[in-house]
Amino acid sequence: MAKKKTLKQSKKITLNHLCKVEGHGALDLKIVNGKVKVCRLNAIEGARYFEGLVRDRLYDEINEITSRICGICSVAHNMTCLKAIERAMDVPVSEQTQILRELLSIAERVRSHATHLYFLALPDYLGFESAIAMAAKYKTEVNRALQLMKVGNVMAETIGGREMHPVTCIVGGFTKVPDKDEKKMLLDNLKEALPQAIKTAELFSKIEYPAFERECEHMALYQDKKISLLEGTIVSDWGHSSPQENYNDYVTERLEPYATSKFATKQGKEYMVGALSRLNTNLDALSPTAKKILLKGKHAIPSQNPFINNYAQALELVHWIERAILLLSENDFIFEGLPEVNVKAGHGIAVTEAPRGLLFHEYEFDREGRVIRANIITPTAQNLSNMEQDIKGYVEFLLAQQKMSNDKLVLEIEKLIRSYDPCFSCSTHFLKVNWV
Amino acid sequence: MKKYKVGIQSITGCAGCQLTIYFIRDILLDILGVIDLVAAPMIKSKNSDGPYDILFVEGLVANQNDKKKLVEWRKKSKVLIALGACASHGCTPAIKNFIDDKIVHSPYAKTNHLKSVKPTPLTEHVTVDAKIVGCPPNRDEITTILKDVLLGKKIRENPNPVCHECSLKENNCLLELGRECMGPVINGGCEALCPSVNHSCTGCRGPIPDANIQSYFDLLLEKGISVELAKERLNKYAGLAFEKLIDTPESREHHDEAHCCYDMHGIKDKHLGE
Repeated sequence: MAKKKTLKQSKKITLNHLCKVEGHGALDLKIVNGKVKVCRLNAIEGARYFEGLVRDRLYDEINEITSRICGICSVAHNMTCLKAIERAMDVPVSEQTQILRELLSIAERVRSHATHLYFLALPDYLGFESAIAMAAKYKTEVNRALQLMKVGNVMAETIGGREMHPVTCIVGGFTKVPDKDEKKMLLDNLKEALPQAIKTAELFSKIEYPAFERECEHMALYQDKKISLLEGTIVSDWGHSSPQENYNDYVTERLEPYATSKFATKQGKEYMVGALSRLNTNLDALSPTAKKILLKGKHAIPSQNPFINNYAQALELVHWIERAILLLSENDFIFEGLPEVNVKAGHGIAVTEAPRGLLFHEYEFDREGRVIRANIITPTAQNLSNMEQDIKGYVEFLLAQQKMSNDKLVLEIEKLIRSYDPCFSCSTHFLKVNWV
Repeated sequence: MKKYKVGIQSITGCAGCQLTIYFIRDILLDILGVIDLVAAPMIKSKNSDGPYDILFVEGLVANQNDKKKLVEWRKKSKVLIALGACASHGCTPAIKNFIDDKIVHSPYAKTNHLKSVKPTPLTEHVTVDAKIVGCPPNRDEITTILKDVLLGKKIRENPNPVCHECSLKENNCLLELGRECMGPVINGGCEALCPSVNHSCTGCRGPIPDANIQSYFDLLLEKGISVELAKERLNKYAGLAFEKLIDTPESREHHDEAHCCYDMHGIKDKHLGE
């Protein structure tokens, strides 16, 4: 057989506003003879300097402010911030508070994954420009998305007081807890939603993802027999394992002259965080129902294919709804009174799994309880470098196989970027503040 | 019936206000059915650059690009609605306006390319036809205002403070319990969401137009609640709006009388306590 002639294309692509992602991202790409010479993924929003904004402010409003980093993962920022503050001041937290925080985080996970899977990712695979355009032909799927989003939002509102930027969760506990009727309502909703989550996972198990693989390190929080959410050690599928407190030893951040976001790497090397990383490092802990879908489906996990992240999110939907049903069935909630905090100087680090991956919050307080220093590293800031490498690899992979129009190539690149579920709102605004 | 061309655009922000629209429960598809959503980059690939009959804009102006986009959008929109706290009042990113320059400028050493501008709400740059306040805004308010605009009705602004709605709900008054609460001076329309879940109102909907800040401070003093701390909290969501409220001839006079400093720059400011 004649050797296939390599197609050598050159082009320059600039995407000024990536659509169907959270926030404002842009991409510059220069391809010469089928090789990517420049690949710059940047957040193009104005900087918001949250780490600077909280300086000198009192500990009791820091979670409220950092929540505003991101609408879609405001619970994750809240929980991580609260845990870091509690560690800094040795604030005890009851078991009930931990359970409610887990439930609140699950609520956010469900609505975040459902929104991303159906509104941002699926239209690409079904050939529509949006979920709205898809609604006429795929009414069942769109309604399923809306039901899952609603279940998550009602749960976030019932526990957190509001669907976004929750208010009931404060340092040391909750200002209000769900009563028996609310608990029953949530349980009924979740039981109704479970078959819809299963259908979602089955749908994403059947999608033809591009057959692109690139070896990279996947990092996540790890707990034995449990998919981590708010606790755990930091591990990777390349054998990394370390406690949360040591993250500064290997996670380094750099600024690029072309972007308002920080790029976080592991000692200069890119890595991936998110649903796929969580499953790649702890597949055994996946719920039996989700595991069954995975075994029956045509895609395997662990995987080195970034597009499989969509599928991992869909499997997580099933896992977390089942977990929430279990937690709610086993627990009743009683208001424990407003927590008392012995304000003192201290330093606290907390790492959690936000919907999009590892989230770091670190604070130092003076003895009045005012912030001296803050550092926040979001999942998207960690994924940016890996996304750039994947874009480079995927473009070269595609161009080696076939000649492609710019439009088609752009769609493929966007599909790849969206598979990460990036949040540019989160990724920007985290410039290292040199405290003076 | 001709469908109105509607856009949902954003500048610097957290995307939460747009999401609040997409999270509207049960009637989202009905709403999308009566309008022509021509631009919504967060959930659509094909987006029109205008003109728009109605345009929602989320976020605040934090760089030159934001400003350029906003001015363009204004030209291309019949009705422009400021969506949320950043767009209406600046929200938390505008705290930057009240922090010591040394802290704010320290990151610029390596990041001159950011071309940062004073973070300000839409109203500082263009005329807006309506504001939907709140961080995030109330979804019922979004649908009511959209319906009103579609029907050609006058947009109604909520005239009452949070306290009004809180008492209608027969909540225990947190101020009476000696706890901080900004309810007396903050825009209602949230059905006193926070006090109803046993949390102080922290002011995410911005001040009512005729807020009497001095009498709010007097009330705190009477209840034994720290006025100094309350002053600090004013810049969290709507510092620029409070600053304007405070900087009137009447308030200046009152200010001199009371020897009270309304400075918004936090406790580290040298003027405080003078």
